[in-house]
Amino acid sequence: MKPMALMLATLALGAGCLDPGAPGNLVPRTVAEDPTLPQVELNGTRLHAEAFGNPAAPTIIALHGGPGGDYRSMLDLKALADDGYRVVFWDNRGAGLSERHDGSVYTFDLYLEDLRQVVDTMTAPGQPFVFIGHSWGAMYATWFINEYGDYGGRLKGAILSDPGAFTKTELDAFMKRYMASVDLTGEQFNDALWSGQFMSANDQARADYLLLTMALRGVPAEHKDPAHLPPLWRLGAVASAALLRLAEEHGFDWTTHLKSFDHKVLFLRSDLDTAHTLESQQQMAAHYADADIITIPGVGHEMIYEAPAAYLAHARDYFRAIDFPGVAP
Amino acid sequence: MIRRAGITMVAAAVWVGLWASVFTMLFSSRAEAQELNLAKLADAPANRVYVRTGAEWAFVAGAGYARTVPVGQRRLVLLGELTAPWATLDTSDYQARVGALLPFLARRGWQVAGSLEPTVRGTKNDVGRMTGLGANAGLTAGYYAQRWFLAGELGFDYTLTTKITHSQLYRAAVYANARDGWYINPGGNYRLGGQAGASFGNYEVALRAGILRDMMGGQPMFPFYATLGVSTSW
Repeated sequence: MKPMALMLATLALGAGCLDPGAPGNLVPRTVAEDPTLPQVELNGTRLHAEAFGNPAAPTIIALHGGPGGDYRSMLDLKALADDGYRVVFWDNRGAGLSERHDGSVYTFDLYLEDLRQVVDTMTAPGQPFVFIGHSWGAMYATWFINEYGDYGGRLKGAILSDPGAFTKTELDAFMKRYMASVDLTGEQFNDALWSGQFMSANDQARADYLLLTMALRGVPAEHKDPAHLPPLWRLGAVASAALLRLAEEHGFDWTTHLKSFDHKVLFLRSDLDTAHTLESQQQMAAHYADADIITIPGVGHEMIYEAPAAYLAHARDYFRAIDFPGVAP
Repeated sequence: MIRRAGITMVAAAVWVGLWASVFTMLFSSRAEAQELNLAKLADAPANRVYVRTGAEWAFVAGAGYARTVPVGQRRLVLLGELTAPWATLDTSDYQARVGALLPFLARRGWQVAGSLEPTVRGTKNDVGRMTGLGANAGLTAGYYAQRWFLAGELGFDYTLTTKITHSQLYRAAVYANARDGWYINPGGNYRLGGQAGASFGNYEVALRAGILRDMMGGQPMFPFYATLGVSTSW
């Protein structure tokens, strides 16, 4: 009798179990797994991407945080389409709902070329554009500017919110502040560590899922309202680790040509964030020839989601200041 | 798919069988702790309690009871242990193990022992509530004297299945359609390290430390472990 009961229990367990690596079980499908998602194919990959507004209008290209984050918490910037701009959102290679790749694929050259091809694919020849880069996205925008300047006169400016670092030296200092913001004996950190025993990163779905146990509340975790956390599609654990590894192994300095970028740049800084300090933002702004810093009071690092009205107001003021008007919708 | 289901059933049967046999042995025989001085197994009292703390998948503290069982010319060590993270008081995070350790090679103070510990774990985090069933297998080899020991250890902690019930936070902020249920073969982790200990009468102090790697060779978020244990026997 007992062996029979054991066999029945075993059969029930086997029949009802789920595959953690199967698309759509633990984390959402990527564009490679769901062809109905908005996407663009370039540079040997498929990126989750969508655009709003008049296709012929001056274009705003949103660059999300991470590396390994996504644009879901930036979608309030869609409101700028009503001001007569085209607003482009896209998830970086291997991040958000974009296609996943093995970690060995990633190189600095490849990642920068992705952004250049996004610009070329999502804008028409000669069409003016600006970047709105958040956190890692602000670093990514600066990397592009250092490499390509104003891109033949088409790049009119950039809004950079809470960039972490433009050089390896700045990154090392930032990582110290970043790690100091993690409470090593706190529940968020220890829960994330403990969760590593329930699942391991055998594939990208599991790796992305495990990263969420640490990052769902954000790191740094200061928020205007901790009960309403910014949403995200899906983290890219492999892409995030690959970019950090490249930075560690090769170093970087994306400031060597910034002084020759003669357009005003706006730094928007979150007031509550303990890792992106005012001093660090001043240090990074000084790499540019013309940069202003504005602190948005009472918000955490995810300032676009937490204070969209204030963020959009500063963006509109900035576009007026750099003479980057929208067109009639 | 059929092959996967077959593997699932076999693995589940093995796991249930492991638990059943270890429980049977634990409650019918004598046992002792895992990181221990194998040189004293034959002479030390059979009953042992131990506590340990350190960093091993979080800052943890644990307590266990163990007994020693004579099996022919050998000594089989059986144990039961409860471990929990101590950084914050959270009763949903725990690990319960029963296990057996068998020294199977001995020569002039050098000994090799194998261990197997069916394991149940629980946690509740931002993503959801998880319950994991698995087994921890280990191999220890080193030099064991009457008053001290030094050994290397190699182990694999495999999770056969994890039940996940996703939180409202996860559904609201990330993925509304995440599937709840038992996930089969979610993964496992290797460990490689060493242990050293000293014996004082009926007391022992043991230190373990090493590195952790997942099944793909990658590093977990905190890829090290280090624990300190104290035990007494009677």
